[in-house]
Amino acid sequence: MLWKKGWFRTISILCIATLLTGAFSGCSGKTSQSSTGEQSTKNSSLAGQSTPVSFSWIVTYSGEQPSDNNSVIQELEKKTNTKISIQWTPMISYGDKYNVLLSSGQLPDVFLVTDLKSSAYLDAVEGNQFWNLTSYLSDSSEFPNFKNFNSVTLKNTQTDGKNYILPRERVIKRRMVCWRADWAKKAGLDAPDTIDKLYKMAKTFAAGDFDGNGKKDTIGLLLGTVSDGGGQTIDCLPELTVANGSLNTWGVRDGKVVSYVTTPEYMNTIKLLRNMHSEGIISDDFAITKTTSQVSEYIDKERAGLWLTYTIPGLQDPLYISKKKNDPNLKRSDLYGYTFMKNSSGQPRIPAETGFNCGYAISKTSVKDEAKLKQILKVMDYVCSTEGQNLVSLGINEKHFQKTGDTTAKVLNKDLFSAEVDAKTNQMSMAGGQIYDIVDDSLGEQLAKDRKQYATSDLISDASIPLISQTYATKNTSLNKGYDTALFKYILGQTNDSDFKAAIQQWKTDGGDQIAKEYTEAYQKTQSK
Amino acid sequence: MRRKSNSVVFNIVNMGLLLIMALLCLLPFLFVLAASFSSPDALAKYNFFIIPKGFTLNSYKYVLLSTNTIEKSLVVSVVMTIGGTLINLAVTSLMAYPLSHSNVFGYKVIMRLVTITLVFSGGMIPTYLIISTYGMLNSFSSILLPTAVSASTLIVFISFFRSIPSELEEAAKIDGCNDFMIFLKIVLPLSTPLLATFTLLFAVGHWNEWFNYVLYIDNGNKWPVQVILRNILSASNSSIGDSLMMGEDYTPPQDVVRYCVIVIATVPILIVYPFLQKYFTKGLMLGSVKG
Amino acid sequence: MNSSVTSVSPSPPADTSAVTVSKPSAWKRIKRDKWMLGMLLPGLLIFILFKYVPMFGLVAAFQNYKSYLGFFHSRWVGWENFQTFFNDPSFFQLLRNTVIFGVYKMIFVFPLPIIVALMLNEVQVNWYKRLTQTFIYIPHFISWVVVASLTVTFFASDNGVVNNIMGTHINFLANPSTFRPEIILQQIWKETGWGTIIYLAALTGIDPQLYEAAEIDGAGRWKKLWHVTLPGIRGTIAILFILGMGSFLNMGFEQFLLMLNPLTRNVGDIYDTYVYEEGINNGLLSYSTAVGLFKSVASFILVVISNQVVKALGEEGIY
Repeated sequence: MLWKKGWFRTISILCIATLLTGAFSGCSGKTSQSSTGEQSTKNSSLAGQSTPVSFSWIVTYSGEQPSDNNSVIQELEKKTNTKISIQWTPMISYGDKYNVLLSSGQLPDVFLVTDLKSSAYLDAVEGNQFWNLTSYLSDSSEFPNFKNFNSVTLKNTQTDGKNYILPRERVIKRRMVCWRADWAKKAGLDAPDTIDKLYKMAKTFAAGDFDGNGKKDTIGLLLGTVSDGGGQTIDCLPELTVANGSLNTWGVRDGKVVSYVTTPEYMNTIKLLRNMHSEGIISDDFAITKTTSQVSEYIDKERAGLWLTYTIPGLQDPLYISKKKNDPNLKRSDLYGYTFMKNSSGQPRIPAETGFNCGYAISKTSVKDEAKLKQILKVMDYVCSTEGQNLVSLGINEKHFQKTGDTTAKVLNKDLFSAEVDAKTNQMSMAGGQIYDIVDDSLGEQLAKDRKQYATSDLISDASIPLISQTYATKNTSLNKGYDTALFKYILGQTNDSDFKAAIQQWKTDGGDQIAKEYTEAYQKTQSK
Repeated sequence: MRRKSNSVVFNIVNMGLLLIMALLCLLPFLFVLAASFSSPDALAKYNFFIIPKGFTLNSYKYVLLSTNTIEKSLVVSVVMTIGGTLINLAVTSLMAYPLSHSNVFGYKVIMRLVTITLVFSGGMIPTYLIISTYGMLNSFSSILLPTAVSASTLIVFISFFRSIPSELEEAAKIDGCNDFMIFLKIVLPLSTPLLATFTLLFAVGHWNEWFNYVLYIDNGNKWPVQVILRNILSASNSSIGDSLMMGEDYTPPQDVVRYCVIVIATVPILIVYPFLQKYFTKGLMLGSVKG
Repeated sequence: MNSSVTSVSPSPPADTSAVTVSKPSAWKRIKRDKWMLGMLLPGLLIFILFKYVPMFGLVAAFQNYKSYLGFFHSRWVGWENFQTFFNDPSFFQLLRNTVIFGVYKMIFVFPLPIIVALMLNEVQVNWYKRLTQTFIYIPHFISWVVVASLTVTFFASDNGVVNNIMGTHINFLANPSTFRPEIILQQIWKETGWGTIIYLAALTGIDPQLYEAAEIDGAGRWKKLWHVTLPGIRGTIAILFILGMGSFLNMGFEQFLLMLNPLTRNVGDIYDTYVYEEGINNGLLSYSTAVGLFKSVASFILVVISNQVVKALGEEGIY
């Protein structure tokens, strides 16, 4: 047909034209980048100590938009003699923006790396896009405060044995069980810190009518779902598996790295959940209850009194406020209880957090020479000092917060704190061990203390954190998709034991075994050092 | 009267069905509206309601006064919406009119080019690179220019313009008008329903735009109200994990705030429609063909 | 069936053959069309600068794209990315789901705005018409996040509004067999009112004298609908149909990402969600570009075919 010929011609001409123009703009794109690079090099050679160093830093935030006159940033600039150009980016859009920036090679000087396992990141490391910070981190003469980093966290955030990012440290002991203390008191139950006690409390709550609405509609154990890169999985599942004797997602057994999915204790945990569902203790809807949006709704509506979580409801929690209306002396500890899990022999068994949440890398394409790098690292070093940590995380003493003890503080000006610090400058914090705990009441104080007290053996970490597996990077998403469906179906009683076992086997053959193998190899390499 | 209505039953059924549809569409929005004026614990107690429970303006105060950038962003929104809509209307209609004549030089090539962009696109990253190369980053042009015309709206415009009777154009040509004057003086006035429809469509598109701002513009002062509002909601939905060091005592904005944000984000543009409604009927001018 | 308004192009039929002697030379035509060409220049520039030039990025589909190498130095791998895609175990599931949704969309979602526009057109009471019109397009403004959360509020098996009213415990949301109807119903609810706007604008373009003539011929309501109204908007329906076929495979991933849960994944996973998850989570630009390119080619074929079909039925197509 005539039109076919015409199309072919048109399209091929257009293709050639496009490639040519693209080539032209691609090249000029690179030059515009390098010109900014030259500018910053000039700055650093002129600098000495009098001219402030200037660099750009992308920081995520959520909530209200930070103003240009953020007093914390100004204080930071004063203390370090710098001019920091902060690119505030909303947290929800950072993922997309980061991908675009990374893929197009147009990064600011300091930027946040979100996933140390993604192909994009690994490729960028391979392509020499980031400065290798390992030697600077251990240089205590020039950078005395980098020692404040937790050495295990530094190890966990290495890629190929080298440090490319400055991790944002986070609390390691975090996952716990929360429940309605007033309900438990009525039922005469103590803290559900073992699987058996947890089951008992869930059963009691589900059978009774503790919210007093006349209906037996209470959910015994409230579970939520959370995204796992391929779909949704059960939030806080490791809490139960670890307490039951299994692993925190990945662990080492007999010198090999294995997934908890292949352990018998995991199977027992899932079977328990299945039984709980058939007994009506776990709701039918748990498969669609998203943790980020819906779990707290259930709690506020008093539909559930027992749940797995990372935090306890705060002082502004709607349920607490409405209960307080009837009883002004109500303390948070009267309403909520928390505990960390133990195994059946009474030993604490808590799934450890990774110890960090993302980290900051320094781009080699924007920061062209070592002199500039060192100047930026000096600023980072200050942020890692006790003074710096508290500056970015809490603000200015007597302005945003007030010290109430050696290691505790309280927020002075809530509006200013939320406008300048909370979810804004506190995103800049890296080493975090010296930050004062914000405590508002006895429950908060108790929790802050509890979080810092643990023996290393209490915390079970995910062994895969410092390890790389290429198969994981490419196949994890699709593996999860298939497996998650099977998991939920099994718990909801829609499939039987053999179906579920078959799904686990499928996961193994489709890639799970390969990932385990690669992790084991990587693990054994670290052991032989 | 254009036609006799000879069936009362038909009218009742027709209007009745429309009423049901209208209510189904309206009720959820009434809920959102009512919830936004209610007290926070009302949502904890009730699932669904259309009259505010515990009427309060606190949530609106929280959203509107919590940040000093709301006024600035509203200005940005309004200006960009008006400007963007005008640009869209101008560029699209100017390009569509010639293409409604298939004998124009280059017609086939251009139409094929346009059709290809209907389904093929370079993607976010190459587009970002190009905009960066053109030096448009951090400028409003990165929002206004790439979207000035799109294949699908262009095609609809072309289809509408095709239905303008050629006798009118020929008559004007005889009177000495060039193509541009025909476009301005004859075609545009006859196309008021089309222009009114797309004024609304373009305006809504510009009003709702937020992603491109965050991608191309780093300066928060240039962001429209949609970005600001989304951020107020974002706290508990962050996918980059937690937003806090302390791990507790940070309460995400309550549901009520979410509903306030929705109302603030949608009501202004909803108001535009009634003003445009009257232009939808102007097409009656087509009767002038015979004259 | 002829359109009620003439749509004949003002000059002799467009001549596709390049060898006719009577066609004026290229320069003459450019001179003749100088105003037209000037008018379409701004739009054309936008197309070229912002839609065509970035298409060089499509080469990533044939490369092993690495960001530090960019588009021009990354290694060529030919069809490898496509092969990986076709060999992916979920390929057929994705294809099946996407096509089924596309078909549902064209059968259920596409015709409704036309029907509703016609219904509105029949209403004589002006204020009633305007009022209902305004109400039915409100859902378009409610974001998917809210629609998803309202869906949960209404249809949760546990204390959802619908289950409460009916006194039942039906699981609407975590059920694979209700997932597709849910999605389609949400789309109908959200977009029907909005879609009527274009058809209403088209309806105003029908010459009232044609109605009068039909009246005189003794035509009743339904006859008028069939012989005057529908033919009057045939052109618009045709164009929107072709455009709809062009986005046959697009389902808008935001709605899906919000509504999908582990139990409904195998009926709900579509290309758009797949590309989003693979691209964003794994940062594999090459792969997601390849998948997107495949989709574009398929959509293009659909557009061309539907354009030909429409023309064969006597209407004007896109080109």
